Amino acid sequence: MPKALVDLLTVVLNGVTLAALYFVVASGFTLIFGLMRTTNMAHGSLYMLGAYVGVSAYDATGNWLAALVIGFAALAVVGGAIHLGLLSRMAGQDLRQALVTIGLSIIIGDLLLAKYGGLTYQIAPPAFAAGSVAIPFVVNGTYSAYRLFMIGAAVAVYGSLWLVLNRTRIGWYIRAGIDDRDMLSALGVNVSRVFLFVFALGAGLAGLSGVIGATALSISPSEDGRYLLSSLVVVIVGGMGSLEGAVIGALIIGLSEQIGLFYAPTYSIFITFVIMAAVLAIRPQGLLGRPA
Amino acid sequence: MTWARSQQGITTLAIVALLLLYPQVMPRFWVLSIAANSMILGIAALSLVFMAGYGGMTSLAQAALAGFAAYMLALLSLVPSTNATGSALGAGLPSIPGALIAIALATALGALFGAISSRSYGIYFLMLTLALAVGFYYIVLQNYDVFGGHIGFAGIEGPTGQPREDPPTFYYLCLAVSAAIYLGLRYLVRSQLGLTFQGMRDNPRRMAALGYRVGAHRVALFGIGGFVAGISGVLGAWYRGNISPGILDLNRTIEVLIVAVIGGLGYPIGAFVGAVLYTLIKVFASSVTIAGFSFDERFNTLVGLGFVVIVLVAPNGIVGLADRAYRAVTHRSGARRRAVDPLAVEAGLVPAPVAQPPDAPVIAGDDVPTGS
Repeated sequence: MPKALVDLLTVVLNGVTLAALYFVVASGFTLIFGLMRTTNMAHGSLYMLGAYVGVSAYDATGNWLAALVIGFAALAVVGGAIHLGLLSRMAGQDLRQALVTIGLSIIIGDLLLAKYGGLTYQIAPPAFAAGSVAIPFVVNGTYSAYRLFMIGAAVAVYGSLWLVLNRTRIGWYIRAGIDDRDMLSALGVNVSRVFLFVFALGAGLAGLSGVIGATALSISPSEDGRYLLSSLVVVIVGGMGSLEGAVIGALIIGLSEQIGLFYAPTYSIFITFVIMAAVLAIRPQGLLGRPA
Repeated sequence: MTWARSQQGITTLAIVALLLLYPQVMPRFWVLSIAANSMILGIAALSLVFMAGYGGMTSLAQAALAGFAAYMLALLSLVPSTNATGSALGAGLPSIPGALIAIALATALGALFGAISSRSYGIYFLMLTLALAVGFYYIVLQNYDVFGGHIGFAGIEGPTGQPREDPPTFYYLCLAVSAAIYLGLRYLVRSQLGLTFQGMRDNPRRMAALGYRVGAHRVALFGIGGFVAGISGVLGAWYRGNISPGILDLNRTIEVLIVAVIGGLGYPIGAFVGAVLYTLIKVFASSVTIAGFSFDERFNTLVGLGFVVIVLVAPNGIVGLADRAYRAVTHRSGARRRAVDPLAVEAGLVPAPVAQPPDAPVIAGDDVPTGS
């Protein structure tokens, strides 16, 4: 196979695995936004908090899956607390909610810097996804098993969310709430409990993706901005509140970032933004978003 | 002339005299690090207050636009051979023409951002402008060919030379520019164009139905925001003498937002009040340690907590609080604060509300109709 093609296939695979991570991060963001119209500007900080919790949990247990579960659970609790303590008190005021979560992101970032310092941490991948896998069409003929595992993790997250949204009672409530919150409430459903569930789930997904990301890449104090940006761009391109949109958005962003990095290293982010602007020019609500 | 008006006139005169005398009596640190720095930050926050308060466009791209102007200034005014970073870039223009072109380019970039976001409202607009700002930061950080990567540029000098060597002159430059922008924007919001902006803020769909080109006006408003932010960026570059991606990172973006919110998003003067307060806290918190809690190390936690508290208890900021207290004391609250049912007015049940003057905007954002 010619080298140029092997390079391209490797870059595409890198893009898809990065997209898998971006999807898992953005899924929580878009879920929360879809139901509650709450823009959680602290989503990148929750990712970072989840990653650090994962680092500590891995140090304590030595078990990657335990770190993943603890990262999810801890952030679900934190998210629930943020929702109950702050955001539910200003329901419907989306600008104020965005401002409050910006304040929270500053506090979380600073406290994490105080606790963990400026060092870079990485979690060792689990035994079942360690090392590399032989793939004939990529550079050197091998590829990181963990990065392939991330694709599986993203598919699993998508599948679970799809099942919850489409096959469970709370999923009915969530979908009905996205369509007409007041009518759902009038039908006797305790909407504030649904909100609490969704916010905790969204924050938990941020924590889960933090552990996954800290294993694949690493975690250091300024990562919150990067993942807030990726989540924003993914949902802006894909359409806010749409899970399928997040899949498409994550693929576009992950691929354009990796392809850009390989072929035009200092302009890769610029390419991402040209795509975003082009999508917005044609569909202001994003590719799969519904008109607001 | 009524008593209230002459009282107001005397207050204004006293403030102007104080501002003019200030650099003559205060030490260099207070003239530059506190006053000039506050004004530069205040102008950036004013561009946000103007867009949010009068156009309903809460833009988080203002720090990026200011930083863009600073980079353009560096590229236009540096001489390649004397460039401290060893980069071969720089057009070698004198400082004033370089600054004017840089501000014009920031205006153009603002208009471009406006074109990208012209169909997004409220929270969508906020997210989009944040994405544009953070994206621009990463472009600057990543690009060594044009923006000098994480090093940036050094050796930028303004028309007044090094601010350190002549603090009063640089102070007067900042003061004159701040005053000109403040008065200019106040004039603008009372003009036909300013009223159109406020109409769009309150109901874009109705304005479109009346025949106004809402999209074009939003682009123009963003252009004005880019113009004001660009001026702040140019002054900031002259003040520091060097620039790096740090001047437009997420922290700076949030800093501008915090200053605007502390002062009050609906009050133009609040931008400067917020900037002075923020700068004072930032400078003096560093020397305070209470019970082992160093305010220097945990400054961001302090700022974040303060910001959350302000958003929770005083959404209209310090100036909003002062305004309310003043109205309560002088009993001038009354009808303009209360929502009055027009049918009740027609029926003669309640007096008609006093028309709201154009310089006291209502903060839109939560209730802006979405859709175009």
